[in-house]
Amino acid sequence: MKSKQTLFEALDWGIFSIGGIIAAFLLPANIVVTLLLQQPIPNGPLATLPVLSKLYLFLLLVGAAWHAMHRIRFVLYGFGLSHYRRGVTAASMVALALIIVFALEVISSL
Amino acid sequence: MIRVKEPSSYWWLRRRKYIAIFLRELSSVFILSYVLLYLLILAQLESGGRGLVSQFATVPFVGLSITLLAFSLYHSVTWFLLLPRIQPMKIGKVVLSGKLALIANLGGLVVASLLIASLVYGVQILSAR
Repeated sequence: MKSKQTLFEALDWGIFSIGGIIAAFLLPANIVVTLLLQQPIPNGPLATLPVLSKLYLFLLLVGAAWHAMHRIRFVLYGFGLSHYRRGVTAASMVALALIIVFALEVISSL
Repeated sequence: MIRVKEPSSYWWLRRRKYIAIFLRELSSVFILSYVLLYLLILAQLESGGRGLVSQFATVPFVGLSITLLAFSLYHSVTWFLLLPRIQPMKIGKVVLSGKLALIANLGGLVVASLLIASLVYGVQILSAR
């Protein structure tokens, strides 16, 4: 049981860190291009290789979502939900799983 | 028995520094919102709908986009400020100061942004004449 928890925490913090780097370096440009410049569909030279384009979108969106969800969990603890740590963790992981499934569905059919 | 006093849920309102930390944590809500919004836009475009795209030029949508960008940049810059403390940046044997590391990371952000805009989305950064 303890080793499962350790494995989960290692995975969680590892993906959180990678997602943090992805979010820090790539997300602002994506917000500018997709929302402010109104070009939501990847249409550059990378789009000639759809696999790379899809992989980029998947890593960006799932990495950023994981990173954000991890921090939101700690915000909730800070707001006084630390007594319900297991419940908050379970709920956030279910929400994250739904986002990943949705991202996979959307990106794969692009 | 030692009794540990529970911190108030409003501990983060006590100091300006704490508010800055909490705003950083809160910026994650905006990051997640962008991820969901972008996925919804892609899903809608894929099914032939243009509901969200037709809202792009409206004032509320531009306002939302700027808010998302502001929080995303705040998240990035505070991460860059934090990085040298977690993992000091080295060039050879020289350890970069916090300011230099911040400048290096901001440079990285600009380069990455230009690459993403041009390679992934086909934005013409420099128009050839």
